[in-house]
Amino acid sequence: MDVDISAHNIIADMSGVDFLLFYGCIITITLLTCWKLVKDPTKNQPLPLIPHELDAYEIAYLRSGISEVAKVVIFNLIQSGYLQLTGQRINRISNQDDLSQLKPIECEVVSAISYSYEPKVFISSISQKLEQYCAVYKQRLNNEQLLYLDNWQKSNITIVLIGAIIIFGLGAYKLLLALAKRHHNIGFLIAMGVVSTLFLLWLVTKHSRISYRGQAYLQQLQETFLQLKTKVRFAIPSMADYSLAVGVFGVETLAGTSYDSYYKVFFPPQIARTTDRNSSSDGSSGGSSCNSGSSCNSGSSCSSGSSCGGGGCGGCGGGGD
Amino acid sequence: MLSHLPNLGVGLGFREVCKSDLFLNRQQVDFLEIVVEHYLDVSSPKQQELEILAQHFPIIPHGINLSLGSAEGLDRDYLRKLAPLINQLNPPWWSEHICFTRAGGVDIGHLSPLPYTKEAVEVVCRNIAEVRRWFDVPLILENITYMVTLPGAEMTEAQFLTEILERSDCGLLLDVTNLHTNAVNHGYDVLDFLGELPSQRVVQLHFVGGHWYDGVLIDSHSQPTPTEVWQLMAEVVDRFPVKGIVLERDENFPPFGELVAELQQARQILRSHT
Amino acid sequence: MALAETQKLLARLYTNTEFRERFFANPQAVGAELGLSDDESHQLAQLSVQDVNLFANSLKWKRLGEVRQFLPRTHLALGKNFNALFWKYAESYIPSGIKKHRQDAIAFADFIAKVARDEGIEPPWVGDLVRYEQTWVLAYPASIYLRVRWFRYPVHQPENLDICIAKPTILVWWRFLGRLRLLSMRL
Repeated sequence: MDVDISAHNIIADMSGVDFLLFYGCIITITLLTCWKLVKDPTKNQPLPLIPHELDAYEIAYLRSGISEVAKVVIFNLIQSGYLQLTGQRINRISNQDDLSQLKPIECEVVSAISYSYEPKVFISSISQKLEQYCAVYKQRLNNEQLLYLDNWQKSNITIVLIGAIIIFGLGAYKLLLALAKRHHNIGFLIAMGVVSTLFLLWLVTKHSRISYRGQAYLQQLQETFLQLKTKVRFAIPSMADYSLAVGVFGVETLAGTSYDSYYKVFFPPQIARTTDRNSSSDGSSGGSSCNSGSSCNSGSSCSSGSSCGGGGCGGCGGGGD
Repeated sequence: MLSHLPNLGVGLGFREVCKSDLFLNRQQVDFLEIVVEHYLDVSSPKQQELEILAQHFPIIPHGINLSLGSAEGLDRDYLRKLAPLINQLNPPWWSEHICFTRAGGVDIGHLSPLPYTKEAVEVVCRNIAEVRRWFDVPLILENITYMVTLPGAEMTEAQFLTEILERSDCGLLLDVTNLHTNAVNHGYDVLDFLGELPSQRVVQLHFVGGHWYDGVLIDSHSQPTPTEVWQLMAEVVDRFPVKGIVLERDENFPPFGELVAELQQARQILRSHT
Repeated sequence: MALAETQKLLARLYTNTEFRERFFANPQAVGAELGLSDDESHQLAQLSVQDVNLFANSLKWKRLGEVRQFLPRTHLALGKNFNALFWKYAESYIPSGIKKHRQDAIAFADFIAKVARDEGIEPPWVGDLVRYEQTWVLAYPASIYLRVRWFRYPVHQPENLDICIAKPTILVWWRFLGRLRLLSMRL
């Protein structure tokens, strides 16, 4: 079938090579523009202050969503004696019927445990129910722009669509013209279109659920409360210390503590070795990493308290031997 | 000028080991005192730590290495690094010590006493004047403990401090633990000492506990505050318009609740005398 | 009395045992070396030897306390020998500047490594251990860092130290603007 597209314009009349160069420039400009416009507006915003009263559930929600909140809730219920871990399963402790001291989300979890469950399975099943309780965390985090907001994503999709229309429109037009003139050397044209598509798709999907501000804030929390990791392992932490540690760092922080069994439910021993990130504080096994902001192996290089009270410092009392 | 300084309340000397507990007990700490040297020539995470602290607490920088008593003059490289930090923090005041820490290319490594002479007063005042050419934030000066009593004194320690404070128009960071330690080790009366101090220049206090070693009281900053220091603090607060009190624990940290209890006791003393 | 000269003398008295002994044995002669007059030297000779020694010792204890924080595992491995070695080392090097304690730790680590190599001290892996800890201290402030070191013992695995047998290992420390990482390769 012959299609007579009698088009005479600058694009239609371009030779193949010239058009490819022109198309390449259009694609580059369009993609760069999209990349510039598709961004997280929180990138250089100042961070919110760390609140006086920290909510471990809210922090867990920020970190990884509802399933992490569930892990912290279950852990707190184990701590406070409403649930117990028997082997790899959790079950309710029968003589704990008074739920009046519990938060609504905790009541929901306790009430949902009618017999013994594997925690991972239980969390999957209860996540939907917990969504309503986590809505308040989501709202607070959205208000602070710590989560990637839906309307930013909608605006990103719009930008990418416009870019796609420009790229495909131009490419499709030239493709049709080429086919009409029975030109079959269209491989480069198609390839450029496909690569552009992939880039645009990446642009629109690359963001995490946490905004830049949220990631920076979470990192700030983790650096501020880093000592909690040591406290839960080597000191006498309170329930609140444990709860906050798990909220901020995850269940991994319970490794080697009194609640090591809970940690092992989610990180069975063969997985624990390859994901252990806690060895940096006293030397490291192969492939481990050390947070540059933390005490690396040899203790902090600049945090030792300097006795500045004058002559006669602490060392004198160490006993000379 | 010193009377216009704000009342900061009761604070804590910041030590990284207490950081988590500090943020979990923010309401118990009115302000923080940071050791300046911990934030000079440091990595980006350490700078960020200071920024986070400054966002959450009023900060008072406390220097330990400027060696204001050095007759050979100040270390200009050190000043070059110190000035931006002080300006960045923009504190109501900052503090250093009446001492020297280096001479003849030797870094002593600790605060060493000056002879109580007119020449030493002259040297300290000259050095303070130079500091003021770099930045002009109100400076308060701390009394140190000393094991060595230098011969040739022309005045008492209290007179020496007063002379420096008046001539350089600085405030006094009265370390009550140091005062108690010196009084015990060198046998003088703290009340006589307090009587010689310029009453309007006492801006801030330090307190903490030390320990005994071989018959000498050591200001190790490692123990709970003893009764005698609490009593001395009450006496000082009764006499002078103190703007801030800092617990300066450096070692042997107890559970944070014990530090909070000491802060509360200091706060009670401050409130009952104002 | 010239305060500058007095302070120079005091600084040396506080930090140099040999100088301190010489001064108190013959204050006029030693004072003259630093430009002090006989009267000035005589006045300083009135310093209490006991007090000066006490202060000088306290300075070393302070340095020791700081260095211990940089080399905690070496301190644990050496026990009381750590203090004894530090006392030998402390006269030979006086650190200065803002990062003096870090410098002190690095220099002391070199000293321990040398003694371990030349004189052999127990435990046999302590020379490797101190070099390992020293490397962390060196690496800590740098935003870009790469160091490859060879060790006879797997000192990066603390749980093995009680039954430490020689297992030649190469360790690589590296950082490029982010976290400091350690890679190990068993030979």
